[in-house]
Parts: sequence; structure tokens; C-alpha cells
Amino acid sequence: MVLEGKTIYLREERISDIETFVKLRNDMATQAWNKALPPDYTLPMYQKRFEEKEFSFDRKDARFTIIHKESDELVGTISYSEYESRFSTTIGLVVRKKFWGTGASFDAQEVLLKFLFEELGLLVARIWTQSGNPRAIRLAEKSGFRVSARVRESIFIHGKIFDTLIMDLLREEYYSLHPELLDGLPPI
Amino acid sequence: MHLKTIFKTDKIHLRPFEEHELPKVKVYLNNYDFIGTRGLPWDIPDLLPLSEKQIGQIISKWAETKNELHLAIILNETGEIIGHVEYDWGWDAFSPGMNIIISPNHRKRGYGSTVLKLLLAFVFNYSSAHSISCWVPEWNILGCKFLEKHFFKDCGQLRRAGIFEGKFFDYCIYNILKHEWKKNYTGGLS
Repeated sequence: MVLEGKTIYLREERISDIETFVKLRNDMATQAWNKALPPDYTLPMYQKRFEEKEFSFDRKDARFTIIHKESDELVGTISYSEYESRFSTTIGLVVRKKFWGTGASFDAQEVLLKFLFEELGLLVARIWTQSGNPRAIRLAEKSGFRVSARVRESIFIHGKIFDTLIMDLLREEYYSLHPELLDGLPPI
Repeated sequence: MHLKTIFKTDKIHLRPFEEHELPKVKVYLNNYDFIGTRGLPWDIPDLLPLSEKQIGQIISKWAETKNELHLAIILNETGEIIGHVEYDWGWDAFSPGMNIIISPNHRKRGYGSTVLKLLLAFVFNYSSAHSISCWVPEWNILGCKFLEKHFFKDCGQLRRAGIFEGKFFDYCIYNILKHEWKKNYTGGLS
């Protein structure tokens, strides 16, 4: 089963996706992290990461490939990590520049959030970003995330100092934005 | 500040934990009033008493974890462990995290302030850190007030960090910048 949105769907990562991921990782413009990584990642590095993904019922993270429905093109990758069972996780998104501003990122984010809240029963989802990345902040806000912490002057990237932003979305906030969904989880 | 004096005052000193002092560390960490504020590694539950095996694992982790510093705070007079400090620059040495833990029996005696001054002096004089952050559960009101008193600024919360006494709680996040440390702790001199 794939996780399906309006214009995209999320599916498992495949070895054939990796070449694109290496390009994305080595493109400084798509590295929106809170520290720059050297743009020297290689295909074998990604192959190793792919091969080391092990079968388990106790997964703490997941990575999905985003596919554009109409063109069948690879849009990017969306993931969650630091998953605490039935409680919280942090999501991450990297999208090819070609798909910036097309709504594909928002669509992928909404599909993942629905999976996290409806299937995994999360109580809070988080996004870490930085004050120099307004595109990521706007995208997160569009899904209902809000900045809950601004850790002053904690990032140096692109020659400047920025604040770390922790953005989060509580379960009840998500459901209030999605009246079409009924929250079946009893309150704490 | 010279390294010879940086971890020592007339009342306390800081040093690594040693494996042979497991019974002493067990007494220190299994103080029931202390549970929930012990600053344990993330994968060890902080709300339950710890077995000897778990204490051994904690000591090993504190000794072996890369890019982290874990030191016991020792009372010079008795040799008792009264707290410990953590300093973590694993993700980014530009903005490390810090944690000071004082055993409940030894709080409100100025040890926390003394250790904080030593640690800030060490980090800002001997590393490239620009900002240092501390995370405190919101129910640790004493901890929040302590940081505010020592010129840390409130940066907001990590909302819904966990569940404590039947309710969700947030982590309060504070940080101090190097120039703020210089101004408030050294009179502008490092």
C-alpha cells in the first residue's frame, strides 16, 4: 500500500532512487539543515545506508520516496526519526528544486502527518529548522506547525548566524485543522 | 582561567566517574527525591529506581560517549558525590548543550552556581562554542529560576516533551551567548 496524496504518493525507498538522493544531498541549495555538510556524498555511501536498513517491528525512523503521480517522477524524500512509540517524532523533507512551489512538498507533508497521527497515534510531531529558511517555516506553518522555541544564535551556515527553530504540532491541533477526521484516541 | 584551577574550588572539584565507585553512584542516583531530574542518558528511564547493571551501563556510557563530557561533582571535605555535569557538543560545537545536576540534599547551597561558572569558563575559554543551551522540564521550577538568575535567556519550549504526574509537560529551553557570558561573568574580559 502506498500513502497517497492529491498530486503525489509516498512509497518505500528503492535502490534506483539513490542516484537522485546523492545529487540532492550534494546540492547546497537543498541542504536546509542546521549545519552544512560537505557536498561529497557518494553512491556507495547511500547504497550502504540503503542496505543497512533492517527488518524490525521496532522501527525508530522511516524514509519514503515522494513520487509525482502525473509524471511518475521522483520529487524527493520525506522521513521521520527519533520516533518515540505512540508519542512523538521529528519529520524531515528534501525536495528537488524542480518541484519547489508546486504544492508537492505540502502534499507529501500532509500525507505523512496523516499516517503519523492516524496510524501511529502520535501525540506531537516536530520539525527542526532555522531562521534562515523561510521556505521551510512557511511550509510547516501551512500544516499547522508553530514555532515553539527559538534558540538564539545557535547555527552558523551560509556565512551567517541564525536561530534554531523548533516547530511542533500537537495532536489536537492537527485534528482541529482536519474536521473530516475523527480522533479516536482517548485523552491522556 | 587556567586548566589547573578550572575544575577545582576550595569546596568542590569535578572529575570523571570511575567504574569501581558503582555502589557510591548507586546511592547518589537512587535518591528517591532526585528521580526525574537525574540527567540520565536518553535511553535509560529517569522515572524509576536503577539496578546495579543499569548504573554500570550509565557509568560506561558517560565514559565512552564521543563528544560529550560527564563529570562528577565531589565535595572536597567528604569525597561525597553531590552532583554531576554534562556538556555535549556532538551535533555542533558552535552550539553545545549543558546540564548541571545537584542532588536534592545539596541544593540551595551555591554549588550549582559555582559549577556553572567553572563550566562556562571552560567551554567559552577552551572551545569554539558561541551559544550554550540548557533544557529543563517545566516542573523543575528551581532549575528554570536558577538559569534565569545566571543570565540565561528563555528561548521557548519543546512542547509536550513527556508525561509527568498525569499531565503533559514541556521542556523549557534557555541559552547564553558568549558575549553575554563575557559581560556578566568576566566584566567584559575572558
